[in-house]
Amino acid sequence: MEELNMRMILFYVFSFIMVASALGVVLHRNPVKSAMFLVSFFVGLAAMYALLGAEFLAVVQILVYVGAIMVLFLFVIMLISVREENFESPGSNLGRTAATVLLIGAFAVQFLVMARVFTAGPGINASRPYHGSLGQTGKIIEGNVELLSFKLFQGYLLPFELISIVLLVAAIGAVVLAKKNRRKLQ
Amino acid sequence: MNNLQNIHHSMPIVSQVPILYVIGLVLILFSIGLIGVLSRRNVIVIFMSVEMMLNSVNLLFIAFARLYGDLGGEVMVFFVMAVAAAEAAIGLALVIALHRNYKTVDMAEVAELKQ
Repeated sequence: MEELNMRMILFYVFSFIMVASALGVVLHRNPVKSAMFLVSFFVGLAAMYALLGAEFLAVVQILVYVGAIMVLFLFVIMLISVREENFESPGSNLGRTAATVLLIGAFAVQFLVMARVFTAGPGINASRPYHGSLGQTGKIIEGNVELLSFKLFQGYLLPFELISIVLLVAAIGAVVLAKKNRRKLQ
Repeated sequence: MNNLQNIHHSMPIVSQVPILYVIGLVLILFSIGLIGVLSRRNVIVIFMSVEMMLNSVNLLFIAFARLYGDLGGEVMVFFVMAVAAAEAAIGLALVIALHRNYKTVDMAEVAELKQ
């Protein structure tokens, strides 16, 4: 269709890494190794963000997911004693398989519809600058981080503050849930 | 700055990733996460699969933000990341509480609500 350029080669490489890591997460019996595959998935995803021109979110992805969330996951996995799971479970019954097949079929149909909508798909040009709001000074701003900060703190200030309250409530709730309950009845 | 931009624009190959490829990749990743949620029994692996699904949707947001040149998609990714972090904290606290009360993280053995 077109010549393979460097960006497409990188896209294929990171796609392969991400799909393989996702399969590793789902298919591996040991949860610790699943977590390691998930780290690989997140790093591949950060590389894909950078490839699509969202450098700031790539860095945030590494910091938040690989740095914070995966450490949390690994802490919990190590805290509770993990067993290797055997897959011949009563949980994998016919209805569940049917639901999975149906949903994936729905996704395939959706992909075909998308293929009709985006025929000869417009490419994502990662080197084209955004035409976002440039602030009230009218200054021309280059660079993802500055534009994103303008967009975030001008257009989305209230959701930003609300999401901080959500995080605070989640932190308090996590402490309350994980705390040992001394007044337990049994 | 200007000089740098000139270098950037005069690269010999116009580098574009077709949006359809990104959509296909995202659907594949989301489906794998969905299979994980539906078929695994370890609740931690289920949480990991949910994280994978959220992240694949983030990739789609970024791709369309770049396609239409609108940064609203990237802001939305920001919020999804924050909600995912909150979800991970709450979910793992629930896993710890579950393990304290039931001594297991196997969802097939935690069936109290069914009875």
